[in-house]
Parts: sequence; C-alpha cells; structure tokens
Amino acid sequence: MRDNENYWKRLRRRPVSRRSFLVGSGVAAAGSAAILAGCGDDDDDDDTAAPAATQAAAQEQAAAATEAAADEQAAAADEAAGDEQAAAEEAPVDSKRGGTLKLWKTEEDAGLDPGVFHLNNTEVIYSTMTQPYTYQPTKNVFAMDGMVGFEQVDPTTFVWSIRPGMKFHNGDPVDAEAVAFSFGRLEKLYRALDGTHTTRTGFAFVDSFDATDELTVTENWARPNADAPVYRARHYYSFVNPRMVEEHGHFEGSYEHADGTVEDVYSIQELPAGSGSGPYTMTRRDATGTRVERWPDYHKHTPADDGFVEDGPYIDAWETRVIPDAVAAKAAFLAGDLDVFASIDPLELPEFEGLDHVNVVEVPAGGRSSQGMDGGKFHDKRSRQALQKAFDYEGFIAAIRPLGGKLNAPITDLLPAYQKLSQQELAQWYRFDPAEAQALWQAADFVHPVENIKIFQATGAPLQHEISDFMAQSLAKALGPLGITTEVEAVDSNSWAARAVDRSTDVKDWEILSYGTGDAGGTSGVPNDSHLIHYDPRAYGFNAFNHYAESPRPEIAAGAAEIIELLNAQEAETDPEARAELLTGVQTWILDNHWCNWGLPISTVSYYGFSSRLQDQGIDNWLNHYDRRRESMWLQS
Amino acid sequence: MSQEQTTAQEGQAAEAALALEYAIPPRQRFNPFKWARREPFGAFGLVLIGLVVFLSLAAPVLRTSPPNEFAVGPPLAGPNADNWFGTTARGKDVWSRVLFAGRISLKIGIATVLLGTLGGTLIALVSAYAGGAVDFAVGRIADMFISIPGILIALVLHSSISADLPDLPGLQRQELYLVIAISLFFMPGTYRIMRGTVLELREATYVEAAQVVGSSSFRIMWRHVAPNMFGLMIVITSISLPAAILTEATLSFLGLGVPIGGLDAVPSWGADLSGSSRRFFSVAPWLAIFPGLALAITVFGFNIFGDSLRDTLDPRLRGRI
Repeated sequence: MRDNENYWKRLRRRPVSRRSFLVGSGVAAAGSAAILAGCGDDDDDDDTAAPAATQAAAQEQAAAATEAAADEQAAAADEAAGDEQAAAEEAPVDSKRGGTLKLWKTEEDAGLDPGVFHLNNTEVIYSTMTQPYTYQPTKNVFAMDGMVGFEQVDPTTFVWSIRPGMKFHNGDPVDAEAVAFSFGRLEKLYRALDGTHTTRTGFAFVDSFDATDELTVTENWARPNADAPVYRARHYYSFVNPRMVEEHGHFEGSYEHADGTVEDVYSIQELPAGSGSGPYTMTRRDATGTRVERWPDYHKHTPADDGFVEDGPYIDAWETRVIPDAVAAKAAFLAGDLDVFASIDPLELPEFEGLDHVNVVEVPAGGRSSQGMDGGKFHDKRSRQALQKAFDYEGFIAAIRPLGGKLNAPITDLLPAYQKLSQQELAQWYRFDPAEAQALWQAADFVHPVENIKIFQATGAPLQHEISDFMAQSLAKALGPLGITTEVEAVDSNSWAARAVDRSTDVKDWEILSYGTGDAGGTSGVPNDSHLIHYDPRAYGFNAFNHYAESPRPEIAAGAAEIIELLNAQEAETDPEARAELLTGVQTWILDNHWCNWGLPISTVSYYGFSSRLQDQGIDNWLNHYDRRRESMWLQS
Repeated sequence: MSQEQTTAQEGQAAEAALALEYAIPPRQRFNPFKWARREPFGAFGLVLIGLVVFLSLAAPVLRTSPPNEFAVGPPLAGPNADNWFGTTARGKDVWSRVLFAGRISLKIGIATVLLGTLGGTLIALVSAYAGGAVDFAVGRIADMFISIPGILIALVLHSSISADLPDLPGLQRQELYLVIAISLFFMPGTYRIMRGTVLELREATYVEAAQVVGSSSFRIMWRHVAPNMFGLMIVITSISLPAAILTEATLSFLGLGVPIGGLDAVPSWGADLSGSSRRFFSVAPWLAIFPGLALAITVFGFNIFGDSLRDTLDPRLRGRI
C-alpha cells in the first residue's frame, strides 16, 4: 500500500493550524453576524427613534395614568368586560369549545395543598378544585361557584348554601361536612405547622365551621369581620375531599381543641385524584410543568354567574410550563407558544406592537415594592426613619419607573373606598433628606450595631435587581459619610424564602428584605391582603421582619401591641366609611412609626399580554388573586 | 618541536574541538520586532490585550459617568454624543460600564488561571513524583472533578461557601468565590497535562544522576523537574485565560457573579449581557453589541496570543490544533 493511500497519513500531512482555525471561526462568526443583521429589522428608522417614541408615549401614558381615578378603573374594567361579553355572545357556543390554554410559571410548586402553600400552584388548585365563588374587586361582584348563596344572619353568624349535585372527582359527594372540614382545617394546619402561607387573618376570627344540614354550613365568629366574604373567594377555601385527606394525607402535627382534646392534622400536598371537584383533573405534574384536562362529570352552573357558563368550561386543557427565565417566556409568548405574559416592561412595549396574535392590556398598577426591615436590628424608630430618609424617591421614579411612578401607601390605591391618603400627604413621609437621615442614624440606638446594610432579594425578576441596586446606591450615598456600606445579595427564591422567615436568632442575616417589583396590577379586594399583612405583627411582621408582640426589643413589642389593636378595630368595622377612617389611622400610625416595612414608589400602569386567540379572558380575573377561575374563557381557532 | 610540545598542542586542539562541539550557544537576545514579524497574529493578539488592559486601567479617566449611576441619560438611548455606547433601560451609561467591566474580567481571569495552573502544576508535581497510592488517589479525585459539570460545582460552591468567604485586599468575597469556582474548572485539566510531563521528566538522566548523588526528593522536584515544566505552564496559562474570562461571564450571566448592586458593584460583561438587559435586546441592540464585542475581542486577543506563545515556547506543537 502506498503511503498516500493511507487515510491517516494523508490527514496528518495536512494539519489545520490552530491559528487558521481561529481565523476561520472569526470570519464565519462575522459572516453569520452580517447575515443575521441583514435578516433583522427592516425598519429604516435611526437607532434612537424607538426609544424616543417610547419616551414620548411613556410620558403621555404616565400623565394619563396618573390622572386615572378609581372610578375610571372600574369603568375601564366594565368596558373591557362588556367588549369581551359582546365578542363572546357573537360566537356560537360550539365554536368556543376545545383547545389548550398555554401558560407558564417560573418554578415548580412546592406542594398543592390549598391550606398550606400558595406559591407556583394556583393554576392547579383553581382548575381542579371548587371555591365558594369568585370576587371581582373593581366590580364588587361575587360570582357563585361552589356555593349558590350566603347570608350574614347576624354580626357573628354567616351561613352558606352549597350548590347541590356536586361531586369530587372520585364520586364522593360535596356536602356540608366536606365544606366545613375544608374550612376548619386551615386553622389546624396553621397551628400544626406553626404558620403556613395562608393568610390567617381570613380565619383567625372564626370559632367554628359547622355543617347545619346536608348543604348548609354555618360560620360562628368570635368577633365581626368586614372582609370575611371576600376572604372566602381565596383558593385556601377550596373544597377538599375529607376521605382523600384521611387516606393519603401526610401527618403534619397536632392541634389542641379548646376542650383539651388533641387532633392529628394532615396535609395533602400531592393532591391525588379525587381530592377536588373542579372542572379539570390533573394529568401531569413534573419538573417541566403541569397539565390539567377537562373532567367530563363536572357539575353544571345553573344559573351561571359572570365568568361561568352552564356547561363549562369551554377550554379542554391547560398546559403550564416551567420557564425560569422571563426573557425566554417572553420569546415563547411572542412566538405564539404561550397565551399569557404578565408584567410587560413599558420599555419593551414596541416588541409587542403590530403583532396580530398579541393583545396588550393596560391597567392601573396596584402591586408593591416592599423593603422589610429587620426589627432585631432596627428596633429604634429613628433607625428605620433614617433608612427611609436616605432613599431618593424622585430619583427612583426617574430611573426605575419609565412611565411615571406614584408613592405607595400601606394600602393599595386600587381600593379607593379604603385608601384615602393623597400623594401630597404621602410625600410628608417619603422625603429624601440625607442630612436628616444621618442625624437620625447617629441618634438611634442599636443593640446590634449595623455597619453594613445587606439588601436581600430573590433572583428571578430582572427588575428586582435594579430596584435593589438603586436602594443600595441611595443608602450608600446618604449614609456612606457615617461609614455605612451597602451590598445586595441575591439567591434563588427557595433559599430566599427560607432565610426570610428564619427565626433561629433574634436578628436576621440581612438588614433589608427586598421583594416585589411594584409593576403588577391587581388587588385581592381587602385591605389586609392589599397590603396590611406586610405590617401585621401576626403575619409577615412576625415571621419575616421581627416586628412582633413577643419581641425582646421593648419598643418593638409595644409598637406591635398598638398596631394589633388598630388592625383588629378596622377589621371588625363593617361600615365602609367608618372603616376607611380607621384605616387612615392605621396607615398614619404605620407611616409615623416607620413600622416594619416600607413601600417604594410603584408604577402607575401595568401591562398584561394575552394571545389574541384567548377570548373573554376577563381582565379583572387576571388582576385580582383569582386569576384563571373563569370558565367562560375560550380559544379562537 | 619536541614530542611534549606536539602532544600539548594536540591536547589543546582536542580541547578546543570539544569546546566547540559542546559549547553552549550564546543566548539570543529576544527581539520583539523580530518575534512580531514571525508571529503577526500573536502580535496582533498582544495589541488587543494591551488595548483592553489600557482601557480597563484608564476606565476612571475615560468614563463619561460612574458606571453604576442611574439615569445619567434617557432610558434606552442609542449611541450618541453624550453616551457613546448608548444607555441601559435604567439610564446607565454603557460605555462606562464596558470599560469598568474589563477590570473584573481581567482580574478574575488572571487570578483564576494563576491559581488553577499553579495549583494543578503543584499537585501534579507532588503526586506524579511520589507515584503509587498518592498518585492513584489524586488521579481519581481529579477524575471525579472532571466528571462533574463545572457549572454544577460552581452552583454548589455558591450555595455552600460563598457567604462564608472573607473579603481579601483587592478581592471581594464574591470575587474570591468566582476565583475558587473557576479555578476548580481548570485545575484537574492542568493536573492531567502536567502529570504526564512530570512522569516523563522523572525518568530523565539528570534526575537519575541527582538521585544517585543523594539529592532529596524536594530538591529534585524544585531544582530539576519544576523548571522544566515552566514553559508548558505558560502555554497552559495563556490558553486557559480566555476560557476563564468566558467562564466568569457565564457565571455572571447566571447571576452567580460579582456583586450586582451598590456603589461599589463592579460591572461585568457577562452580567450586562444577562439580567434585565436581555429584555431589551431587540429594541436596544447596543446593550448586547458592545459588552459582547468587548468580551469577544478580549477572548480573541488572548487566544491568538496564547497560540503564538505556544509556538514560540514549544516548537514541537507548532501548527497543530
């Protein structure tokens, strides 16, 4: 055999130099880039055109949004609902049936028991379980689902009428025993687990839930509560099959009744088939997401309230993908692979414009951008006040809120019946004054000296990083002359949550807990959820911010006692006007005492993206906490 | 001429011939221009590196605004007279950020490669020279590290040790974490290459001679083996550096990089190519182009310079990938 006929020898005679390889790669990369650039945007506008247009639009929109009043919010929601209803009525019912709604979430759920968690799992809970009803805050409408009615017999007695003929997915009847069990287990789970994610303010005032007859449940309260009806629309109050809890439940601990008897408490985090009675059953739940499919034996809604249809739901299945990266999710949405993309940044709106398959809805923002302060370290009011004086509110709005921002009161202004503080009034407390901040800091007492302020946040929302960065810079500029340094630490959301509520020592391993980007819309409809629980010494004030009645710091303990009294008083007041006055008092107290948590300026408007094939989505349902519980939604083929 | 004279002359001639034959050639003076003519790509790489180093060092002078300052310009403004590389969504100046980001890339890259290469070389030297069980154990540990994806190691280290690391002079806690995490990428590879060299050198005649005259193992390793590994070490360093810079960018892209907030936060090309910037790439491409270009130029420069350096220091490898 001749040498040059040997393949290996021929190959060896023509080695490719590393340099040639690099140069070749460079040329290929440059060529690819040129091709990509050539295939890109055909728009001949100059580079600054898009941002300039965005800014101009932003200013106009900001001005318009700032002027928007609560009535207009309701009117807009009504108008949107009216348009949707008109569109829905035009299409024949048969053409509305079918299809798969495609959703996304950033992480897997950590459990599906509606009485324990409410993180990354609501798409399953709302679709596979039945709640008493939905509540639409802007319209102040209750739409009946598992209940057909309710009546407040006297200030402390509430009676429910259950929809007849309902069954759990395994055929067990949904009766008063099951409903009373479902509601009553919330307090027991809360006690057994020493706190859950459920808002205890929704059931702490209840003495008992009793099955009066087969389809009637009576709530007996220890004291009046103005928000009870709204609370019952939350997913915590889903109907859970007692037999499934008994057979498949996981032991969580014990609960001691008032008479001294002890009861074992079980959770049902896997939600096995038969646990719920909702319109769908779960067919997949893994690391990639969840899928629920229509349950053929679902009960009829006769007559059907807003958001329900007699023979619903129209959509066959919901597919929820886990997409940790919001940018990837946006790309999927723009490509038509997702039906909903919330929290669109105003600056990226141009990407959503001119697309036939995308429908962007502008709504007033109502979320929070919270900065929880560790009461173990910032026990002296002056230290908390110093932090708030060291923050540049106007600079923050200019940098972070491109369409304009507004100061955030402890209660969202999407509840105009309760939130009466004007922006001018709020500006008294939210004022940037570095000199005063330094004076207050120096005068403040610190049991644990603070030399470095760590702002602790979860990774995930890109805007959260910008907010923390701005906070760190602002505090460093104002308090830096005193030798105070700042830093930002970002960890995954599970680690963040664990460290946020870690109570193993009397101080946290962070100084400020940063969460919420303040660019989301919506409210649950009650002032406690929106957003007094962030200040409540029995809620986040206790487990996250070390602001609680049993605090070893006397000032904190005294403050907690005061605010609990104020919170209880407003909660028990059923007259809206009198309650609004009490709530103004609560807010003023919080702001005067710089208590526990401080809300940064939020966006004036919020943008939600929907695929244009999704019809009658009910914007109100997506803005409040009962999103997706709308069986009249349908997908245009 | 006497017999003795003749013999002496013959002896001198023989000595001269021997001296000529075994003479150590005079060390040639390194001529950078000659080298540049011979290795034009390497010289070009060196120019690029020099440019990056200069721009990074001169960043405080060349910047147009503090790199972390918010709202120095309108949000998402394109390149203009005030903001040469445009602005971010929060009005930060991209030019200033690109300049300062070079510092972190160079700092982390150099620190990482030094630690990784020195550590890998040292371990290889000791384990391969010692041989036996030591060599076997170290080899298996290296295998273990190689078999685990580097990103996974970085993630584990981030959650386990990064909070407990100290701030060192010139190296913040988070930077130290990056150096350790990235070094662990490179150390096993360096160990593998260097171990082979040590095994080869261990059998060299001069090492045997040193053993015969009773030199200690430490002396042999330090005086006879280590110096002969130096050339290869430099080659590995120059080739690993761009990979280290890219790894830093990758970790920053994943949010595991340098501190992200505050006045002292250091911009990073990788971090600037991720995070909130990515949301706006299609409406503001300059957010991707300039940090990406800076990263590409730096890596390209180190790559072609490293290639030439390898050719210069180890001619046996010339022309091979």
